[in-house]
Amino acid sequence: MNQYICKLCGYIYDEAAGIPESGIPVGTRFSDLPEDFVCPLCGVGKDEFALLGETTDQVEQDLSADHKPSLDDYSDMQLSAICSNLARGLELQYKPVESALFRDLAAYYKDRAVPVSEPSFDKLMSLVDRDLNELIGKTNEIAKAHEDHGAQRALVWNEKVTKIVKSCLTRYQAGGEAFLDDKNVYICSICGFIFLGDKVPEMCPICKVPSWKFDTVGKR
Amino acid sequence: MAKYAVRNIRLCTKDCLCLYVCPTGATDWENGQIDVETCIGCGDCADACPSAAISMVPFTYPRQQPRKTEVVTVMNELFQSKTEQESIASELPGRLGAAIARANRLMAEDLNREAGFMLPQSDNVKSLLREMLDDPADDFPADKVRELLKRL
Ligand code: SF4
Ligand code: SF4
Ligand SMILES: [Zn+2]
Repeated sequence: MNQYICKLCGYIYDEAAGIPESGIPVGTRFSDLPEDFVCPLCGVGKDEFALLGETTDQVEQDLSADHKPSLDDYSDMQLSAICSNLARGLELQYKPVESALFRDLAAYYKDRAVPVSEPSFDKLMSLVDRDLNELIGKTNEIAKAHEDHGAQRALVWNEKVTKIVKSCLTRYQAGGEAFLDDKNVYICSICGFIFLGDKVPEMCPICKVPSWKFDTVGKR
Repeated sequence: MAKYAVRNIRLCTKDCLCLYVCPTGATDWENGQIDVETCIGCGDCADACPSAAISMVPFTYPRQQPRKTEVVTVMNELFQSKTEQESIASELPGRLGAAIARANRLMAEDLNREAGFMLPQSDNVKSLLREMLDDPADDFPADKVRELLKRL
């Protein structure tokens, strides 16, 4: 069963639902609607309707260059992050049901991800250093060469937040848990910037969102 | 492109112009939301709202910008590194471990968004969901994946 949208006013004809009050039974295919069928909202004819989904001008684009991801490329933890990212996207689109479904999938993949053996601050630090000294620079070069501005923007934020993470780890290594005693831990819910202090920052210095986008981590 | 109006309750000050300008009464609904069925997508309420609380949301989204395989491959390497750091940090005690785990999750999300998973309605997402359906695990929530494929 498909849905057809009126290109003029946005009315959606749902084949599964039909329009029983106008004598169109449940399950009536769009193609089986009478030729003189008109949009019940704005009155245009059948040829002003399009199959709901991707519009025609999108299909005509050249897609040969587009990368096609495949499930095998990702670990469970990565799938979890892909799903939680999509959940956030659907929240922005005001689609709470779809967003919750992706949240559930994200939680499922996170739960079944194999834990890292012997996790430690040192191990974390070595990955942070590899990102800062190697991966981010290499990725940035390739993104630049291909003029991928979205990727470059993400890498700017990534580098800054990774440096903040490194500075937190360094202070922790020097002073242990105690260096946090008199501080709150705030995190920017958009970019991940971590701020240790008394008061929430007025604006995120990295992604520039206002203070209400910050969350407080735990209690001191 | 056909659109409908949505009100962000958090920004809305509850009593002003959108009620007067709407030709169909869609902005004045008992649940505080704008009624999708009644809204004809004219955009007058969004123009009139002094608090920028109303967005005009399209029924269909344009196709995403194509991504180059070279870029995606190396972005995925960094993405993988961030998820590994999230795993380690979430095993560590204290508020710092929790904050670092969260920061890495947010960075990982940003990276995969820019490496092919921007739009939930895209072909990339749909084909990934279809592949998920072959997951052999007994407890895999295939019903949720099917529901998503139906709705997106
Ligand atoms: S877009 Fe037009 S019809 Fe829809 S709620 Fe706003 S004013 Fe009313
Ligand atoms: S005009 Fe904007 S702020 Fe005022 S009631 Fe309508 S949505 Fe809310
Ligand atoms: Zn930020």
